[in-house]
Amino acid sequence: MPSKYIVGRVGMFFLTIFLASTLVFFLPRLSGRDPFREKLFEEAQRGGYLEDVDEIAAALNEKYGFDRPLWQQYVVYLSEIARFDLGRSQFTFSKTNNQLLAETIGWTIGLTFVSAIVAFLIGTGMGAIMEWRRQNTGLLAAMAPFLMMSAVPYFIFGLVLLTVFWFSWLQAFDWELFPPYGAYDPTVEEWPDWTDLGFLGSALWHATLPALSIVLVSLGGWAMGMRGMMVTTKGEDYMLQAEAKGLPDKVRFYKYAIRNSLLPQLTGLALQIGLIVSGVVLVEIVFTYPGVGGLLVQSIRNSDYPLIQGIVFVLAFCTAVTTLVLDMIYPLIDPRISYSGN
Amino acid sequence: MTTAEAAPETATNRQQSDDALLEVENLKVYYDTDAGQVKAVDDVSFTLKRGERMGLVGESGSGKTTMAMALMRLHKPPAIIAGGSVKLDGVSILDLNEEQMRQTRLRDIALVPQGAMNSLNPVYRVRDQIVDGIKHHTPRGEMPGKGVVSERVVELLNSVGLDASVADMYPHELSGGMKQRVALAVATSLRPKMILADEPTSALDVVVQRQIMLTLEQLQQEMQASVLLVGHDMGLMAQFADVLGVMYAGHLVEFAPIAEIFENPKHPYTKKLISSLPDIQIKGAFTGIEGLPPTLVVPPPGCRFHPRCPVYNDDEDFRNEFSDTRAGLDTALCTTVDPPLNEIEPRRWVACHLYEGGA
Amino acid sequence: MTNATDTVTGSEPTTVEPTPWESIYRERLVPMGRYLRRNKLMAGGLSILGVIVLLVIIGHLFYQQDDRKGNPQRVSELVYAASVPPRLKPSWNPWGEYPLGTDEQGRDILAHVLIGTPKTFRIGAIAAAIGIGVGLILAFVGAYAGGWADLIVRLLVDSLIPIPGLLVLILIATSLNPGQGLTENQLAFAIAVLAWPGPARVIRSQVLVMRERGYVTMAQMSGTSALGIIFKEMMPNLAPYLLASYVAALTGAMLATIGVETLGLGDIDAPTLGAMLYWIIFTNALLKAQWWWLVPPIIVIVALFVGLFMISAGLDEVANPRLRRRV
Repeated sequence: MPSKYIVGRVGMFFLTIFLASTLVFFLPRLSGRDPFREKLFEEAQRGGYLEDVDEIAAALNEKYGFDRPLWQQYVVYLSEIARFDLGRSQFTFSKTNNQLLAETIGWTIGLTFVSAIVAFLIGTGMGAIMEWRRQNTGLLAAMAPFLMMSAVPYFIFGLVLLTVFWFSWLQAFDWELFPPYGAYDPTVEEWPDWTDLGFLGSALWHATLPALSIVLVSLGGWAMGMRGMMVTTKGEDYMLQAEAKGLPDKVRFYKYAIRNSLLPQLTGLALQIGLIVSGVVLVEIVFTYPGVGGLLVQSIRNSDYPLIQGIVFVLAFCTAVTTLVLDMIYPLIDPRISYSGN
Repeated sequence: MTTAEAAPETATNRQQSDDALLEVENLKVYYDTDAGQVKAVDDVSFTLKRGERMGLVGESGSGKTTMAMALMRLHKPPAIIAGGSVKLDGVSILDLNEEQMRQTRLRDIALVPQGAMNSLNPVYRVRDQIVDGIKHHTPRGEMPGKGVVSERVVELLNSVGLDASVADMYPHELSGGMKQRVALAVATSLRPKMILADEPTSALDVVVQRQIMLTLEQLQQEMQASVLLVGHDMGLMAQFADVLGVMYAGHLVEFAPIAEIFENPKHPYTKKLISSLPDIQIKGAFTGIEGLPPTLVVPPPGCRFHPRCPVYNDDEDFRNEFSDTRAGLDTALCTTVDPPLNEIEPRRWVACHLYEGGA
Repeated sequence: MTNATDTVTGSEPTTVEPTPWESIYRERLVPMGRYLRRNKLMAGGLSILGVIVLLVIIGHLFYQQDDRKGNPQRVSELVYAASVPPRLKPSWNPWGEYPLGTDEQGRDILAHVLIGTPKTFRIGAIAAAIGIGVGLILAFVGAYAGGWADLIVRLLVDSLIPIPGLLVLILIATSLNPGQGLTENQLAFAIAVLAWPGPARVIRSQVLVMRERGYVTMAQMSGTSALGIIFKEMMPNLAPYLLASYVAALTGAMLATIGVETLGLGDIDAPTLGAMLYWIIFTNALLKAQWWWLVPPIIVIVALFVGLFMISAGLDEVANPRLRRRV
């Protein structure tokens, strides 16, 4: 039985990837425009030189295969995607999209995962304790600012943090509490070098504000979600029975209340991934973090469609993988999943 | 099959004047609500003997479940115990600290939950749910090895008529009846002196109901535990209980050996209840009597039953039955004085002005 | 306990014939005020939004600025003042001509915020309205038709919700207006494409629950048509959920607008809050210590989102009465 569930989820994963890649292929082509030609025209107008634009555009389009029928392009594209070949950027000629993404995606994944997981764990824990210790109203009061923060978009909060913890600090004390941009100190030449403790420290120091803008904003939501789930779980018959069985408070808290409230929290995490990824991309832009966010803005400015598509596909892929991993965790948390899941 | 040494002995060495196991005196459980104080259980007293099986019936809202929960201190806010005392084997339950109370639960007094409940933790195997109760009532370091524990689990499962393989199943793989058997196994795992069963067979089909009750009876006799069975089903009570308590609007209005209650109910409410049962075989469920139960926020003045009382209202159908006693009844009392629970004969307790001697 | 529901669903008119305004005051406003006094979250959220609206209106009424030739410019010319750079270099002098200062290109920041706030709100409101409408229809179709229709709706909703919305918006933006960014209306519609799955899910589950309720069964047995049941019996009871979904969708849509514009996918020359952020980030305003440029839009955006969040939390209390007396 559980294997049927796993097969279903893996199937869903491939379906998602296929749909994502198809969307990525067709959506930008709906307009029927010729970005090469447009870009060249733009450049040419700026330089006041207009000859041969059509020819150059045609040549470029041929080189990239944009002149072939759509279905042929689609087949080629799919076969490339299957080999995880994301093609070439239209305007950054020196590197392939795979290279460009390989340079950046690590920072994005690192930032997203660390901050999302930290926020999830702390928030869930806070929510659980908050409901379990109802009489402790101080906790609820401490939660209030986090709740208000949870309303604010990550990157807006990032701008607030930047203003308060970098700018104001700098103005007031003439001293940088946290760095305003980048992922590590760029003045050290041999960096990035992950074996160097100094680099690690620098990377953590630089990641603090971007990570905080995600963690502080997400905390409140997880706490409230968990609190709500704990309210429901506390009303369940087995909680009364656990007390009637004379189980200690700790056991009822961890093995009964939390264990049974965790699953909806995790499905909540799966639903949030999309929002988190979108948010992280913007946070990276605010902090000039060298993840895919910056690359995306650059490619948008350049109307570099192959690169935009590559970035979108990779982010969608990462999201799908995360969802799949979460799907694989559910049955470990709740034995009913593998049976009722269809 | 089962051995007595699994249950740690406590409080049993105390000298007992009689063989009373559970002594409830003037127990009051109130709900503090915005609308006012609800006296869900008001001044309830009774004594249950060792090995005795007591039934407790009443309409929903009469306070029977609230009282049962308060006996284990499982009542939840806004309910509070406003007064009275509960003694289990001489130990005052209400004076125990939290940790002592926790130890007492399951070891001395165990709960068999309502049959309709999901009383098993859905994420753990049956084995773990039997073991965790035992584990947390065994002093640190004295927990027997895995093999011994496993044997004990199988033994318990067999004693409630389940196969050993059930130990490794999850609750969602069990039928309602099987779940209730597991609950019985859990409740008896430490051989408690007292078992509290709150409608253990509700929502189960009739055949399963019967099997569960038989199993409960078997376990009870084998362990010589006392049982308090809370329920609706008068037929079930007639078959199972030795003594019966009847609750109305937070009061215990009658308490007597089961046979006497059925043959000669004293309280007008009990009388109406018995006569409302569908047939002489006493098989019917508790259908209740006509009229609405009173609100407990503002209970009727005097006797809480008087608005529905056939005697007070001089109901034709009941006129003959109470003719002798009604003559001496001052009906003004019914609307002004709440009748106390009096022992009018040995082990016959009634709360009604009809039986207040010369009054 | 029931007071709150009475307030939401309204009460029967009294026999005495008051003037319409009087009756509105007595039957709607008074109980609403009484309700708001208890629902502090909702009251707080509404006050925050109220203050923003008030400030924007006052700004529109009293804003006055010279154009380059020295002629006074009023409300109608505000767009001009906000989008065309006047003479001043980035500066800040609260007692001068530009109380909130001017930005990198010398545009008036106060005018920019006054124009941008309602614009951003408008985009969100349109997108959310379309999203709710589509979600509502799909939810009813799914819940009523059942079978294949329901399956398709459910599959669509479940597969769309976890997709990073920003990514889809990027693709749509690159498709609709490559290189130029989306106009405000295009942006609203593009966001609407992503705004319906959430409401559809909430409403569908509510409709499914409601269909089993006594009053719907009664209406069915007395021969009321499906449409009649939907509009007469279900809609009034759905109202709190619809309102809550709308606020949630509005929040999401505004977040999407601001995000897309910050990425530079909107019309970067339009005076919206998102375009402002685009320029602030693009020109490294904070590194150049131009904090006065950053602070006003941030305050407005934070206030907008916190206000909406409080309203949505307050509505949750109405939609889920179980929570009503807690927190």
